[in-house]
Amino acid sequence: MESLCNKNPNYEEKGVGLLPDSILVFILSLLPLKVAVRTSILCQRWRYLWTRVTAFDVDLLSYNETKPSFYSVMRRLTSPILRRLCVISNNPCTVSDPRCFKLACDRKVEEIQVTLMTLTYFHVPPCIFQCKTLVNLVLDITLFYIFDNIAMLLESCPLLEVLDMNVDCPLSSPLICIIAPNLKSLSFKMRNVIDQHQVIIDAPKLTYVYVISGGLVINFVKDPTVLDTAHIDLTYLSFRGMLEGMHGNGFICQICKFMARLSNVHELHLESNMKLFAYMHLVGSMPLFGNLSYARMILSRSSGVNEFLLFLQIAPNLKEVFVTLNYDEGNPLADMRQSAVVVPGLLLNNLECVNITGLQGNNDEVSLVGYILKNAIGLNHLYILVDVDNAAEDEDARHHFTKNVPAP
Amino acid sequence: MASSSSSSLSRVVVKSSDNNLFVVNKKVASQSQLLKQCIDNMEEKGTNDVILIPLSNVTSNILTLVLEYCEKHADFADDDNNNQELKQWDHEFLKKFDYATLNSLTMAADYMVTKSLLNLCCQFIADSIKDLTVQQIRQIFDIKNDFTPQEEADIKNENAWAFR
Repeated sequence: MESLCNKNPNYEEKGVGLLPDSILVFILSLLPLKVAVRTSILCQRWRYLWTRVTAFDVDLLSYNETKPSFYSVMRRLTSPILRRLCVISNNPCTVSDPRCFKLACDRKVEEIQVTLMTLTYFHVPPCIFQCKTLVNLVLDITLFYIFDNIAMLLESCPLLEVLDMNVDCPLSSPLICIIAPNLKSLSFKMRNVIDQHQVIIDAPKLTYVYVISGGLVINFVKDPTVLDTAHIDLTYLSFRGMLEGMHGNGFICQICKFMARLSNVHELHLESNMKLFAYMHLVGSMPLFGNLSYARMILSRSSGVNEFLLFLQIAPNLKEVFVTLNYDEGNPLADMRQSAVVVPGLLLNNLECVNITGLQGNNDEVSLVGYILKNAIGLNHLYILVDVDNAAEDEDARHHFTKNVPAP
Repeated sequence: MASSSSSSLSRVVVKSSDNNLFVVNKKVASQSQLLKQCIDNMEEKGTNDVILIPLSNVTSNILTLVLEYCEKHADFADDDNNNQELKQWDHEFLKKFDYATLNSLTMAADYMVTKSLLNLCCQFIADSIKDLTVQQIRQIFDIKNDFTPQEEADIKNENAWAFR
């Protein structure tokens, strides 16, 4: 093929420089703005090509004092369309000019991505949440204010498919409604629990959800039937919330309800330092994750084994599971009554791959591994990593395992 | 009465600018919106003859490559799960070419309205010039610097933030 091409003299002479302007502008739109601007110096023809790009992608991290004015650069762009606005900065001043976002929204922006690598307040311009053309919104900002009517958020962005934001902020209203008919991927992250927020999601096309549930209580208006993957991180939950949970109506009860709504998923990622499944078991409301085939979990050391066994009961079609035991204790639910758990062996029939790390070699763990070996008849991959602090303990643990785990 | 189903074509013949003929399966040809449009038009008219589509802007060397791409992508058309494999194939496919071939392929993809191939080529070109110096870009694209030193200084000054 290559030799054929080389025979034709036409193709040896022509460089990429001979592509039509429209394609060159398309190529420039795929580049960081800085690189696109630099092509202005190539030759006369390229002088103003960059001003026709449809993307504004700038990394301001390397600028200290002589920052370019975000807005003045953006105003030089001549295309009536700005598809992508993507800014990374460590200085909120550089990205907080609301005129930039206004301009982007006026130019039918489809994707906005703001990354602010510093702990500071940033006012998200309201126009973003009213942008009719927005498809993809990523706000990676540690602390920020959302404008007052967050309750109405996104109802005005009918095309939105991806929403990824931190909500580590005091809100004027404890209720957040996400009404998004086309939303496919939702990442809602709250690490700093300032207050308890109620989130109501009405997104019938949701296939992916990622929640760091600091103080968030999440409800779906309807069961998310097409949800395929859920990633839930419960390790930032407040102590206060969990204590309230013990009395029925607080966080943990809400979290359990939320988990139950996720029961259609095929893939589950869970990070938890509390006895979530034990609680469900205790109150007698274990959801059935009938479709689940892949799970990855990080659980606490002391309750993890029991939690995992309980989890196996509600995931009968699980094929592949990765478990890491590593969270330290120190939460109020750690003392909750521990009931001995036995999973019917039948439920392990579909397990093909089990990967457990962070084990310390205690009796519970040994019986867990033994139990899996005995009952998971389809198992073809078992990986166990014992993780202890010193060599002597390590030797002990190893010995313990090799002696007590039955051969398959 | 000719209904569209009775005159459904299974293959078309595509003619390159240097007059070589390529027999192309309809599913493969449909990867190009230009060819698909031609086929749809003919089917609407109820033609049963094999149709000939002349492409005056594409040489047989380049057409061979475009069709190779279309063939691969037609195989994967009904299958979302193999995306990773297809991406890998795309990358290997483009890696083989020099800039001149890449240029012609890009133009052909644009002309034949094969959007995914056009995107792929443009992304590939963008990725490959991202880390180059101005001088290197000139060299690869065979661009002659027609600025005076003063003009060059002015441009740098105008967009100082990008040249640091």
